[in-house]
Amino acid sequence: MTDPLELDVRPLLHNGGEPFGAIMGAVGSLAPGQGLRLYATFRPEPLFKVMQAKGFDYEATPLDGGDWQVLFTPDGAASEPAGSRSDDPDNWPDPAHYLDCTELDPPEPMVRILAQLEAMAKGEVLFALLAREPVFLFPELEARGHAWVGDFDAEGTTYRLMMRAGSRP
Amino acid sequence: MQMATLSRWTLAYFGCALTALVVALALIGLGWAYPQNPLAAPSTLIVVHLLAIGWLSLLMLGALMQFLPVLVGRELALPGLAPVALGTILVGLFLMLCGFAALDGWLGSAELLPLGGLVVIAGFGIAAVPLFATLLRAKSLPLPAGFVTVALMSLLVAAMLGDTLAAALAGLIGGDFAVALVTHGVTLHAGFGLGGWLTLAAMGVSYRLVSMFLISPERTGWVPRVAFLSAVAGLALACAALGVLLWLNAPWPLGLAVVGLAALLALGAYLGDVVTLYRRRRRAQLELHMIAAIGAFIMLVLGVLLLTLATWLGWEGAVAAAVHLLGLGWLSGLGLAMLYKIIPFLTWLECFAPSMGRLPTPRVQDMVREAPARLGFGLYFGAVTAGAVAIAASVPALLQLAAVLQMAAVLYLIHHFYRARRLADLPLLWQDHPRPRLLWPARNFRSPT
Repeated sequence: MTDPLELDVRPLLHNGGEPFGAIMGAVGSLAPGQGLRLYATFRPEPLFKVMQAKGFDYEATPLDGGDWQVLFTPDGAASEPAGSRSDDPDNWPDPAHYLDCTELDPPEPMVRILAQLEAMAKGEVLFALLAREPVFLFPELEARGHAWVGDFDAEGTTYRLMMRAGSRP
Repeated sequence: MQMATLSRWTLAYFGCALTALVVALALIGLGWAYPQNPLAAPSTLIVVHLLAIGWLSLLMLGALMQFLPVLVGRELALPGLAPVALGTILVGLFLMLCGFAALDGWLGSAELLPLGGLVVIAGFGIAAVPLFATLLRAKSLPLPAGFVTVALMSLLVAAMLGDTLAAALAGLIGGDFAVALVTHGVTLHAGFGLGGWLTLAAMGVSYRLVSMFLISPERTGWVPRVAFLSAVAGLALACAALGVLLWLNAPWPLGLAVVGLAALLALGAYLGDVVTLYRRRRRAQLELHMIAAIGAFIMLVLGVLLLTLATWLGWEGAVAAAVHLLGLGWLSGLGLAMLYKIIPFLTWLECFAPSMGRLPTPRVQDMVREAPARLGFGLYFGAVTAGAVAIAASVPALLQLAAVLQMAAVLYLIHHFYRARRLADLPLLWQDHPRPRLLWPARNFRSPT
């Protein structure tokens, strides 16, 4: 099996940078079955959920000086997620936007997600976390030509949803 | 494909249900029910069936047409049957009520009673088809949907038993069987209807709605499972008791006692889950519908305690008072509380879904004014409690006064539902937004994209 790819985002974080793009870039360059070893200045909780949605397990270890090392390994057993028809999420670009809607009551998550999608260029991908399956959102996504794929995390408490913006009507 | 769309007929169900509630309360106010008249008097039975079929069952079926797809993440199957079921149930209910009136020596013939019952069964059967078909489409049944499945089966048992009773009352069947059925079958009929159908469906739907509206993690683990399994065990035993009654023309007191214990266990576990859902909520501020729901849960506790005590002591007045608390306090109170959220939410979806993200949209909370509506709920639960005291103490005048106050509270809440539907309380920015139709099926509200 290939060695995990190593990515150290600590210098970027020390300079006040946003590492999400770099991490997604690295994930995109992984060979099939390859893992990712990430070094960061904090325990990157939100990233865990993003990576789980992409089918990666994680193992976080604290390092000296408050830094963290996280090893992401492909779990290979991701359950078949539900999504729009005739679309292959494997060919999507990495998410360019991220929304955490877990603390919002309905219908606020729908409003935020659709507003974000309206602001995105065609083909861009949005990743969102929700407290439940957004069954009223799906018809709206379909009506507006957006593609989506989503499923619950392993604990069944958070719904992970990736959406690719369709052509602007 | 997991999605849910607006159920086009849900608001028509709600409109008919609320009308039946107001008519039933008006009849109680006029002195038509127990204790002025005996429990089994035709006038009492008219009021009881207006409430059980016209109000509660239509309310629950309308709500299930909308929320069962949400529970299982599938679109409603065969949605075209919803209006057929509604029409059939209304016709059957009207015939049934005429049949009861005929028992009292009014117009018509008593045979209308079992005929009306058959039409109601047909209506329930038609309504059950899209609901069961939706359940069958689900990949897996989450616990709340399990409750609804069992509740729907119980509805059909309650309806068929009720029609057999009606045939006995109308004199179409006679002999020892009819006597045994009329003497001992009413309790089972009420148990399947009020307990198996309405309470289990309310429990199932509320498990999901309470956690959704409070942003509280859904209940998992052994407590909700105890609630479900003991409810199923209780209903299975009730079916066995019904079998014994049909077979031997005799009741089965031991079995019924165990049914009671299983029901108590189920309700205890459910109430424990409800308390946990409220405690673990992420919303600091409770909206009015969730405060009003607490009133309904308190009525459930009071009603169950009183029913247990009254059955133990064989005190008929207190049994009637407990049924009053459970029917009008718990089930009706919860229904009214949820309508206070569901109607604005559905109206919001209908009016603003197409503009989400493109134009500013109001919050669902902008569509209601909670401060005045709060008075309506306060008056409602106060009047229900006073009515229960009046029944237990056999003070008919107080029950009539309580029913009038309760009717006033319901009319006031209907006024609020109407305002939400008419977008009357929206901030200025949306004052000119096109109004949806009040009850009739939503037009194709989506923008052509």
